[in-house]
Amino acid sequence: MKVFRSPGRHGYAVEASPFLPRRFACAASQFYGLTGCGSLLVLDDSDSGVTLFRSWEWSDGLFDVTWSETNEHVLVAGGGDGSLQLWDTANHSAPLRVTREHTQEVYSVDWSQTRGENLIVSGSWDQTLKVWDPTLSRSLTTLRGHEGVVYSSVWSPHIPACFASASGDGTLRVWDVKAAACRLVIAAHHAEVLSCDWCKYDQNIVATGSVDCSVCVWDLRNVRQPVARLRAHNYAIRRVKFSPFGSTLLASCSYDFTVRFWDYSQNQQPLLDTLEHHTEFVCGLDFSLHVPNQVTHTHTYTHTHTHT
Amino acid sequence: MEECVYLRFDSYDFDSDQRFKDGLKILHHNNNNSDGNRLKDMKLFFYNRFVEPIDQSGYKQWSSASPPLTQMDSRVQQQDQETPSERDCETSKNQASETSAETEVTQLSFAEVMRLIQEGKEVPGAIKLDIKPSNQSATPSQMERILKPWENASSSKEVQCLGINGAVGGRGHWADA
Repeated sequence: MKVFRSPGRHGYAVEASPFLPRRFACAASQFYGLTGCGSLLVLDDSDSGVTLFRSWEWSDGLFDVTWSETNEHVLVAGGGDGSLQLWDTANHSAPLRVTREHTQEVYSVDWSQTRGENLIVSGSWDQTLKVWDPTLSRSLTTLRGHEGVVYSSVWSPHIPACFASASGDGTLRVWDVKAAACRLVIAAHHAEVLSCDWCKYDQNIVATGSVDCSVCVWDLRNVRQPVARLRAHNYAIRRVKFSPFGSTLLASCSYDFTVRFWDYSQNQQPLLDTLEHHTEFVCGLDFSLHVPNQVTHTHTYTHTHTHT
Repeated sequence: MEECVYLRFDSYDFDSDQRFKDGLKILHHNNNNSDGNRLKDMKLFFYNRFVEPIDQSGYKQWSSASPPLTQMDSRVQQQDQETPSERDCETSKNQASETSAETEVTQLSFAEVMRLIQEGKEVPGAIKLDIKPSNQSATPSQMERILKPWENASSSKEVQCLGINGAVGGRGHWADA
């Protein structure tokens, strides 16, 4: 396990670079995201440890970050001031572009991964989702329907112009950007849903993580009940992600300070492993796209971890 | 739904939450006359930020209108909530060793930050910045896009369109929009 410490900053999100196997970005905030500024850190994992490649400060807490799928230098972060910022790792000074259309905290940003598409989606506490082109000029569309805070928004890795969102209203929703419409509303949990993610090997499978301490796996073709309900966390689940390497493997991190690994196809014993070395809420989590079994997660410190 | 939040808040195990406890210790040290209401406010603030949103004035109304539940009563109403007692002992041990290892940085506790904000005071060390975009163009990309692990595996498989275009009927709760 390798650790990077950033005193005075709390990590909210960590994302592996789609281009450079050992690079990842971390969105962080001063003072638990309550006040003060935010930091965007670009970190490199080397044999001697995790080193800082670049960092920028922002005037409000940063809660999520996403890498461009078409330019290895470019990334977008979402802030507590409702802004999205476009950053360039080869440009030291300021963000290239800043947009302020959301009226409250931006809690999620995601860059689409489907071929021939180059869009960013943002989800906010103002209950809306917005879709942007890669220059972050005006938003292309605003999607309304959630009746609570939007915590998570993730593009389908397979279906063009389609993303899922998770909200404080307890629902998971699936959206069609071309029609600017919500296609599916799933009453996923009887509590806030803080995170969602798509299976990378089955376009109909989505996982949700909730304040009710459970992860649910859904088949969008029949959403009357989840395919699997995974229980073991003791507090709210902050983020859930499917493995890039296995169709039924996923990881979740929680306010109970742990990261857990699951195989939802194992009905009897879906919990594979639990990492308990954290002493803080674990907010951010990502799998390496290049190294099977390597995960990075973040709170006060950022860890990379090879899970076997 | 809201009542559920209030019940969960009432039964939240603040005593096992090291972060909250650490903050309280310092608060009591600095401010001996902190009364019950103030503690409740702090718990609401903490819960709203770190567990789930709670309508604070709604909770107070609800709380004064309904008979107080004991910790046991409300726990029963929670579904499958485990008591994280052993784990919490373990993590607080870890926490002690971690904090002593980094004495060079004074970390304000969550509750300290919270108190300062509630009192409208400056949080020492809070940085105020005014950052303007450069409006420059992005550095041109020099790398080819790399196939994702799942693209390697399923490149030959044709992707269907989930019924986003109307192919799937019935079973899901498709919205009317």
